[in-house]
Amino acid sequence: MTGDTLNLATAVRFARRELRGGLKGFRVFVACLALGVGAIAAVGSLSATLQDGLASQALSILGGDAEVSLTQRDIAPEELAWLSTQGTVSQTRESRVMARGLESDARSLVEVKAVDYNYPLYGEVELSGGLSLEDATKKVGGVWGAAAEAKVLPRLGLADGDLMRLGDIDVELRATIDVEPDRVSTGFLFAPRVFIAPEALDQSGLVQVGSQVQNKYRIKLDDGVDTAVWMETAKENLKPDAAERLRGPDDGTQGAEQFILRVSLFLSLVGLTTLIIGGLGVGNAIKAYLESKTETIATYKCLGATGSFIFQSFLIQVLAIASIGIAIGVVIGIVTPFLLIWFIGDLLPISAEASVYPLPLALAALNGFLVTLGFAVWPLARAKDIEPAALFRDMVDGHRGRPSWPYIFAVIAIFALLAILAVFITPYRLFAFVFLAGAISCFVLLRLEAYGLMRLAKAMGRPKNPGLRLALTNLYRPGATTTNVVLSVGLGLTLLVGVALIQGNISKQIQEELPAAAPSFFMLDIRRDQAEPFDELVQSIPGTKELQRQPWVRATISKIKGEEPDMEAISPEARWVLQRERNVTYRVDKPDNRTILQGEWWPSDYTGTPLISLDEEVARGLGVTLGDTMTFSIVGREIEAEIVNLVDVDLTAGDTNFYVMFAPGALEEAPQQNVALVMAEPDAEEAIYKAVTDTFPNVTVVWIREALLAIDGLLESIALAVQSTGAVTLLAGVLVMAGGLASGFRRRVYDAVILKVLGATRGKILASYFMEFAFLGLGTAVVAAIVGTLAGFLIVTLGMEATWYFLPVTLVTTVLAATAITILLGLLGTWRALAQKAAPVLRSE
Amino acid sequence: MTNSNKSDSLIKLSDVHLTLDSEAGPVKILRGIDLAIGSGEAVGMVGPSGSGKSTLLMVLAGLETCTSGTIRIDGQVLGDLSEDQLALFRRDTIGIVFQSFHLVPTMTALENVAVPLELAGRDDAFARAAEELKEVGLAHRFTHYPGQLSGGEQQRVALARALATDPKILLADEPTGNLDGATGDQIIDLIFRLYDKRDTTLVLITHDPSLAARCDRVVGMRDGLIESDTPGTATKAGLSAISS
Repeated sequence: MTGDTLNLATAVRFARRELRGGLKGFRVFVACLALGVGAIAAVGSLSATLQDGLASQALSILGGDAEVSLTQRDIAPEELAWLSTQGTVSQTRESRVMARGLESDARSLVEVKAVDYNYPLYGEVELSGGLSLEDATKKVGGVWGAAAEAKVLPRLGLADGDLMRLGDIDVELRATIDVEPDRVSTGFLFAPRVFIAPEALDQSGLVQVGSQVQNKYRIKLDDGVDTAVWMETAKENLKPDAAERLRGPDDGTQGAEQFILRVSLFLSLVGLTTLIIGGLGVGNAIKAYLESKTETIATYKCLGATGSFIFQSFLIQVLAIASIGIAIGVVIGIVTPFLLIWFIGDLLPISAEASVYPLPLALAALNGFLVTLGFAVWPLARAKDIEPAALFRDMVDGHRGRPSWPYIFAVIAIFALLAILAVFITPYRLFAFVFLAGAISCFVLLRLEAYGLMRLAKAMGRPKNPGLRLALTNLYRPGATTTNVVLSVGLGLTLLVGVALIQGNISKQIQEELPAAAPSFFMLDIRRDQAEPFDELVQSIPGTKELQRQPWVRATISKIKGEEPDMEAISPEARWVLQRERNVTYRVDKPDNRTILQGEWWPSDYTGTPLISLDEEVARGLGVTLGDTMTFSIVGREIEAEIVNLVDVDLTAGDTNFYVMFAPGALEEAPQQNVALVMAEPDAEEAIYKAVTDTFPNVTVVWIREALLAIDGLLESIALAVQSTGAVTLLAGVLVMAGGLASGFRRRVYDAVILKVLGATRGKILASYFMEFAFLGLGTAVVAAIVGTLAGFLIVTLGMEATWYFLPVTLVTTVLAATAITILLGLLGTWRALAQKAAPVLRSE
Repeated sequence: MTNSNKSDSLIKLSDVHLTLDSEAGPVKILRGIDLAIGSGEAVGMVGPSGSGKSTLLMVLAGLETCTSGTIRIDGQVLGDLSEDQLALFRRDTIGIVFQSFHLVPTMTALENVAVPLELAGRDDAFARAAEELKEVGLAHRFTHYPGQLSGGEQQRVALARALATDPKILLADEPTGNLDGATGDQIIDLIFRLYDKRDTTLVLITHDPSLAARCDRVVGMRDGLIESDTPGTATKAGLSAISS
């Protein structure tokens, strides 16, 4: 038997005997690990569940093996013919239009989707009453049918079987949509979905040249055809712009998958922070345990145990207890996706089957063990240095001072490994790195604060009031809970303050700042022949402050400076203007929100060769400047125009956003539509909405206030998820604080008894404890508020490039709530100390 | 068995000094100790509190490092050993009995006695521990935890543990200090009986001169110095008769 194997086997045996004492003193330890590991495991499992859901439904989410999606135009007949030889083809057309309830006369924007009878190629549409899509949309007794999302019904005052008007036709609402299988790939919808038949859309008159229609051609390939190989063939058989818009199943889920990965990364980093805060509790528990074992350790050493044997044996004990907490955490991780899907599965955009995913669970467990080791090595290394001579003196005291260098390096290496693991496991490494760097800086700042608070308490000397004196002494005496509370509660609180302020800022912008500057309506699909009557109608309504109507034309850039554009030479930020058809406009006067940086605006009576005004950022990206030419292809016609000015566009000033504006004369005859922005008194909005939708049923009216509320609602749900995780972090902090208070309990009992003997009432002692926790809570909250505000400020101004608003009410509420919680918990933790009878305590001392 | 070879110096201390730092400045605890103890000798150390006798015991056990001087035990200079080497040296050479017993509370009596044997990697640790417990009269207490034993029983377990590895030296620091008179007497009798039975060397620290007198030599200490070194009044043969 070699020395090492002997030592390990014996160490395990000794550890097992030591653990006979049970988990007493380790409850906080186990709870902290369970919470932290549980948070990481739950987020990981849920993310894996959703990603699996996406992957398994990739075909139904895309709507086919492959898709060609074109804006405002149909695919060429020969392309469609070729596609039809390759498998089953389904065509859908999607457009945002106005719908009106015939009975109620209520109107609402809806997202119409005209679907043929091959739709869906994969997955199933589920309608209320088990109705088939064909039965729901076909013409019955001369009336077309429709299926709509349930939220349309109250908006239009409809019930099943009622009629609603879409453009020129009335359709009968026959069913509500329970499941739309390709919903996820469509992205965020401003308005509820309505399914109708393709012929119904044609007859509605809503689709005109230039209307915002998304044409999607999906194909279900014949059996045995490899999609990736077929995609290459298809690119050769389709025209370049259609080939460019060809997407495979992975592309359909890409956006959703990235969203899930980003959110889960953030949440798992918050989970890691929770685990590290929990690690403080782990460290405290180990320290307290080892202090209670000082005599035993000294005895072992007297009997011939080496320091490394002591280290091994107690490390085994710590890991054994940690395993219990980690196992509970893993169970939380396993159960959470099942519970969430059970309770709120209907709210998820994809149907996900919960399952057990070993990888995220193993990763969470690994994190748990690393955090345990990170916080265990230091006290264990000190314990192994306990001097056995202590047994001969009556004062058996724990070893103080720092452990030897190899152990310090081990601690550093473990935390470095944790950080590397967190950063390298995600595709968003920069984000993970910034988060961790922020968390570490926050940790250091709070540690400094704890130190400062203790120094300050000491510097305040000895006040005459004994209660205040005790409160101050409790803050800095050996074994004080100050560092514990500041670090554990402070980290969670900083996170909460940061999130609350960021959410507050976004909400303020959406609810107050943006509506003040933003127009009341954004109106689309105004036909050329409707332009003048539209202007007259809107301007005739009292309360209309301003109307900006702008004609627009679809155009692609075919040449830059007379040459075909070289994508490689264009900077990535400007490539979007070349990637497909973009809207361009023409105009006489310079709009107010544009500042000319170079060149001059054309005279109002200009009639010469085509001139353009270009966004300066786009110009820089394309590598063009004043005097250069750009050629635009508009419905087969090429127009070469000279750049005469470069402008800066202020997007927040409330204007239509065109990267290029033509001088009068070039585009007037091209097929075009109009968009309009209407600024109005809030009281007049209802009247304008009604008048426009009554007179021009084909015009799509986006009521900005409603759209912003929809976005705000979405942001609020995300913020709720983040805040819930932040609350778990704070809970971990509270656990650590409770653990710290419990370990100092004997000392408090002794203090309380002595004070009582000296004539202090319970009220006075309680007041002293109150002061102690008020100092602690307020000190922690103020620093957490400052750091949280700083983090929020950096994220809002640098990360989101938005205006920062200081929100004192949010901040003060958070600070006061945190202080109140600290005081309450502190008093709860010390209340029992007051109830102790003096005599038994004094006898045992 | 008798302790025949008493003339060889198993323990030899030469000019041993120990100074400890305190808040009030350095305190000289041992101030030049010269002491030789032969193999198989029983030495009683007496002296008032603070005379340095317990510290001397710690120095002998390698638990405290002297500031200057040489400690040679069984031919080994303790100053040459690292902390871990000292632990192994203790395991193989020295058994210690404490005033406060210092049993491991989570282990049974049998397991407590087995600890040094297990640490030495002995396969017969538990069989040997059982023998030792029988020897001290605790055959019926194998599975009891320290908390379930009386003070006297606990000290018997501690004695069995100290002797389990058959150490050459048994150090006893006020072994009756935490026991009532009658129980203390029983423990002392037991210590001397076992000392007599085995080929071991005994260093017994006590403040009771009559107890020390039962040893071969009585060394008196005061202020960190050896004040007296006289033969004990009771002979080993006589003690054997008493204990049997």
